[in-house]
Amino acid sequence: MGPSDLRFRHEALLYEDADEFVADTSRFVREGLDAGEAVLVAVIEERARPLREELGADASRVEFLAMAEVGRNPARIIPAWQDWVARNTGRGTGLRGIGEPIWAGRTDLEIRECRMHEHLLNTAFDDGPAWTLLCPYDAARLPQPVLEGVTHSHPAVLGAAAPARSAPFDGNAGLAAFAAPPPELGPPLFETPFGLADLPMLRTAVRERADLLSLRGRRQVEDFVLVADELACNSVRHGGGRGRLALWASDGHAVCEVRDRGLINDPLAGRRRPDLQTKGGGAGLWTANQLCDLLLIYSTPAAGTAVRAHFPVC
Amino acid sequence: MTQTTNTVTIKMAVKVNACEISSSVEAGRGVLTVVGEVDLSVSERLDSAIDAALEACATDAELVLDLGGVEFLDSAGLRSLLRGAKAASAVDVRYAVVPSPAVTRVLEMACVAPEILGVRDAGSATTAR
Repeated sequence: MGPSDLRFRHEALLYEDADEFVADTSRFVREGLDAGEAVLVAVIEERARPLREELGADASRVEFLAMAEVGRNPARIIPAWQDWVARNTGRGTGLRGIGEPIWAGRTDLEIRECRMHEHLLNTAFDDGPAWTLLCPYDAARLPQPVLEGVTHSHPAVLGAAAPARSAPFDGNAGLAAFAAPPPELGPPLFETPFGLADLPMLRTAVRERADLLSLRGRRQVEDFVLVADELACNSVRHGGGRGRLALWASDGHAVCEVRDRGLINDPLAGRRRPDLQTKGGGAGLWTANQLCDLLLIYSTPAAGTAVRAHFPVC
Repeated sequence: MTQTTNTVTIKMAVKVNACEISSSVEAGRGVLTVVGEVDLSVSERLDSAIDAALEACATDAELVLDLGGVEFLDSAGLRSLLRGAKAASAVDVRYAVVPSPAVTRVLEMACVAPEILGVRDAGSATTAR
């Protein structure tokens, strides 16, 4: 066992077509099963189906996770891996997983968050228990910049050659996770400054715009109100006591953005399960991530913080 | 006259979002009833109300938080409920929460096991006497 086996290994696999995906991932899975390892495969069903068929009876020894669900918001993937690693570290064997967060058909914004997620995997697991994660990439169908970014987030790339203009690996790139501003959305349908005393009015204002935001039914309205309230609470508690809230209806989503003068230092903010028993924060962003498809966080010392939540209304 | 009407309107608007907390203690057993919306702006008031109710409860008795009328709760409110559970256990008072759907939802989202708050079915706050 070399030193590289004693830590987290994060490898990418560039595959050209479905056959190559099945051949390479099934070999990876079987190596793990032969060594008695715990194996988890988190891919979309379109990829899981042929892999299960290839594995035959061995498929029953593999745990499958529907990436379309768990990774619908990319910020929910790291906690899912953490849960699985925690559940299996006691068994005294190696652990290996396959995770394909980016598939053809993901929106540009989802891809942006997924690429950040790939960097944050290094941040989340580099100091933890040893396990191996293989991330397949569809080299034939994914945009060129995504493929060029693979070497930046993965210390090792297997399969087809990575594109020539690829960036070198940077294990600390996750620390700059919140440096990119959110895209321009045009004039909001509602905007207001707020402080602690305004929180009830803020919720009323959001409820009153439920129709404009295409929110349907009490559960959906109240879930979105909870997201807006939690983001606003964060400004009051950590962002200098006040902030500015804006709402948009955008492309199948109700969007809520809160800006304040605070700074989010923790690149894994919103991905850590909150501990409400202690004084620690984090419950607001965590809750928003559970309810939303995307949570864009922009936070720099110069610009302050903007958190934008995309809540599904379809 | 116009002024009076305005005042009434404002009161009603506030009432939609208000949080009302009331408590009663009988034979050492306390019931704290919370109605309305519980957020960061009322969590301190809730903390104090829980502390006062715990003080009024006898050791080995119980404090029931009847949250059946809570229409909104956020993680700041949940933090108060958890703080109350800790404080109750420190003074040997049994702690039980009767949740509304809004309370249950926030517990789910924050990954708080209902047992930590002694969550009971709605209705038991009154029937357990």
